[in-house]
Amino acid sequence: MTSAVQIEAVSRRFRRCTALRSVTATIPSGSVTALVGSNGAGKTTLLNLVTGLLTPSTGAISLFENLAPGSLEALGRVAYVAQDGPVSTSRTVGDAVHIARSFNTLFDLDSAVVRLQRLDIDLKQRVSKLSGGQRAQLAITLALARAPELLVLDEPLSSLDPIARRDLLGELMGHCADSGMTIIFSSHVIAELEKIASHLVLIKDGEAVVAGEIDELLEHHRIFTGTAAEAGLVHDGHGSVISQAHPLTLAPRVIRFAVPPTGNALLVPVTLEDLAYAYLEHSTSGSGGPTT
Amino acid sequence: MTATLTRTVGTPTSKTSWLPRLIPGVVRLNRTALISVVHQVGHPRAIILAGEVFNGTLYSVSTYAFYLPVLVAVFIGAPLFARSLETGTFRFAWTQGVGRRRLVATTLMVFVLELTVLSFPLGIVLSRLWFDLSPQFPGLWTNHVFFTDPWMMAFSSAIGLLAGALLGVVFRRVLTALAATTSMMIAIYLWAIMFPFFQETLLWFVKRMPSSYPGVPLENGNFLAHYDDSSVNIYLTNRSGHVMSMNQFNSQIYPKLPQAQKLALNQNAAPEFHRLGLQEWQGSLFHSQFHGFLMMWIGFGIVTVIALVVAIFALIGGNDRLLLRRRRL
Repeated sequence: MTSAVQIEAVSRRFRRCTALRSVTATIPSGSVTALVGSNGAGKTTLLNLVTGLLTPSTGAISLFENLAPGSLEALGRVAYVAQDGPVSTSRTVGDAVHIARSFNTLFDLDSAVVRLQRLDIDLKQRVSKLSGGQRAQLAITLALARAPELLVLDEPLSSLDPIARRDLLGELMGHCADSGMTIIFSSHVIAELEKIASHLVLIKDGEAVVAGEIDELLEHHRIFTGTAAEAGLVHDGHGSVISQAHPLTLAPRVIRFAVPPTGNALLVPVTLEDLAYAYLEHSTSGSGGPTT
Repeated sequence: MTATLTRTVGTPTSKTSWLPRLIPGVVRLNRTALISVVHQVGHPRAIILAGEVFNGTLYSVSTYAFYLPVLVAVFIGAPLFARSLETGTFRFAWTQGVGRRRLVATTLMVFVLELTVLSFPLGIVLSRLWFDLSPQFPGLWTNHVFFTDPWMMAFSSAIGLLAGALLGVVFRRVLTALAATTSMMIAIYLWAIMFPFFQETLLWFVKRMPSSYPGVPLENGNFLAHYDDSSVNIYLTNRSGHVMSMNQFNSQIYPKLPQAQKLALNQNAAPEFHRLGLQEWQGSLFHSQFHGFLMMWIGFGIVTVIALVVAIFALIGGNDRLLLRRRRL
């Protein structure tokens, strides 16, 4: 399988802080990758690096095997919906559509107009008068009209109502299935990510602590339901504790196994939400790189 | 407006067609600022100035020409990129297929073109007003209030725009960029109105230019290069035709002048020069260095424009090719 994005030991330093530390991840073509992390973990920085808005301090990112992020060849194939205020608010929706059309070689004007009409967004309305959700929809519409091979969405669901959120996820899945589009999106709504995401990159304090296919990750992780005394028998030599049920009990909560465990009554399957929370709460570091 | 939406793009257009496709988008994106340029260059103000000129306040012509780049720098240049950097809309614009360098280049080009188209005729109008009131000059192009020269108007406006845009990119906040640009322009203005310092600075440049015409010979072997009968501007050259500063003139030449010439210089009186035999002196008889002033400033303007553009692109960054070959990993 070819990779849409190859991230190799990428670090990004700003003047006063290091936003990313040696992040390595591969995002396969045609996949839907969820980028999860707490606030300030470095998700937006990573997305800005992928889209070429920033350059890595160290390491390298390649798109579609050999293209540099931000190059003309890459920009023609990548669409980015940024988290906050992506479209000029002093213009009308129609202006924004015209501007996007002018800025791109490929732009499906019809589909953009149809989608906006379907969402009941008036082309003559000023962007500043739109709600947060409508602005997000406008930005997503402009991105989809470019028919990108890689769609990068920075928390697209945060300002949408539940119905719009469901519809958008369905629409994105449809695009993925129809055109083989690769999607990377960051979000805090982990329960909904599970419905569409095939891959997960989990960032904590600037490091990718988990990166890989979600099904495989779920297979290798289990929730432990026993006591602290029973824990050693279960995972000793076979797995590592990711999180504890409670600091005082010392009983593990989520355990990562090198080989998927079978037939143990004390272990139950994890959900993506369990997995994400376990790693986000995990206080130990120096695990030697992301789990894949 | 929005009723004109039509499907025009279904397949990629040729790679060379990005500029004509991009210009309408840039114009639409910066419509308010482009309209503001028309207001800043302000042809109605020129008419007001014309009234002042004919009322005798001659130098107000050049005053407006001086303020034009200030207005452009502060109100057009500073917010040009700072606004999108502050609001985050640059994330949308810079990730579009056209590439950020082309977008920035086209934006600057559109504004510079507009400023040139508007300020060049304004310069002609202002120069014409000066010419009408100063008939001793033989033609429009020898107008010595070089700030009002059409080329100078265009260059100074472009420099103002680029300087403001550069500070906008540096500070990435509209208000900060406005304040910084205003401060910078005030500093330049203070430098300019501190006349001796300004004059000495100009002479520092002029002295490094070669001379082809030595000017009117003085009895001590030096040459009177240019005599300005409406101010104390006197430019003198030494025997090799290089312009001397006033300090050099006062210390090295003035003591050796005959009393009559000293008197004429002190009285700043053109007729006296004629009477003393400096018959070659005419209003049109400028020293070559002074002829070169305009070209020098235009040359200086070109260098400044190039430096500002390079600085803006260095700060904007980007990985898309504009002039350079594409970069691959």
